[in-house]
Amino acid sequence: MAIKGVLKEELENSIKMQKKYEEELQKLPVGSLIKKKIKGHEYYYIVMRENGKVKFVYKGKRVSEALVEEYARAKEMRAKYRKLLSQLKKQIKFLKGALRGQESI
Amino acid sequence: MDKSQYDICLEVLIRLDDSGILSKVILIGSWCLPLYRDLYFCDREISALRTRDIDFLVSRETKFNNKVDLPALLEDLGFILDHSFPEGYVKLIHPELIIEFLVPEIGRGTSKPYPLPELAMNAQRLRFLGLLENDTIIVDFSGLKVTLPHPVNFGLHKIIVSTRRKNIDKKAKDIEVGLEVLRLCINNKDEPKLVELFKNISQKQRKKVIKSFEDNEAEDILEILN
Repeated sequence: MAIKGVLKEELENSIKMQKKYEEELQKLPVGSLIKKKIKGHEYYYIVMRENGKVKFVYKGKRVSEALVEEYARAKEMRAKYRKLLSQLKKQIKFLKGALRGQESI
Repeated sequence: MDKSQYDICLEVLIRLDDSGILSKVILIGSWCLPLYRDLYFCDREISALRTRDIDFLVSRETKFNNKVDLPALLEDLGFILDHSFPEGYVKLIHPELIIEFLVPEIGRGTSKPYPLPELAMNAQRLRFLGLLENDTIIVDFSGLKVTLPHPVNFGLHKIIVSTRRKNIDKKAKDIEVGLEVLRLCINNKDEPKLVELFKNISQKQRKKVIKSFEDNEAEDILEILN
């Protein structure tokens, strides 16, 4: 009985967490900052996907250190949050199955 | 303990220790159980049933010497801040662990969170937590000194809390864990401590605890208390 209660609580927590991580992902700046070398000159672009197409947004020959750091951090956090989201989805699947009695606990 | 959950828990405790927080808080809740099993009851069988919540009790008298931005400190591990609405409590959440701070509720009580500005966090106020901070033990967990409530206090607190629970599953879990820990304490020669603690709780609580023992066929414990 107590096990079922714990599983229910954990399932609710996982579902709430999934929503929170999705919100956090939305907060991160879209795309990645890249440097292109064209005819010996370097130019910065934000590369992103829009309606399934890759889009380059020109940012200039030089960008601030803060912008570089912001995008580097966003890249790192995006990868981390996606990994944790995938972990949460597996947890939710397992917990739902266990509560239905279709999976061994 | 699950390996990844163990690793993340240990990493959190290491960071709390490095920041000077760990020695100022008491680890409470179901995470005490594996530590009691390994470090107090000498590997005797104990229920491993627990949630991801890892709760830290902060005494009202505690002063944190350093200012530590805890959400920032744990951000790279993937922890994010979760605000409860409308109460305003904050938790640090991760698929393997949910970190929350608790503080004993005194007086008439309020639903407002207790601010912990030194940690950039707040704490939830709960009744009866005083029982957990009255008597503590320090255990060595992977080289870290972790403060836990004495198991007798932990067990009796679970029984007291169970008498106020509305959620049937949580009530059953509290009773199950409380009785298990108290029986282990009795086997561990902590009987006098249990009797003493029982004498010191209010008469109203004593009545409720006795009723709970009677309802859950814990005559062995009742016999000791009588």
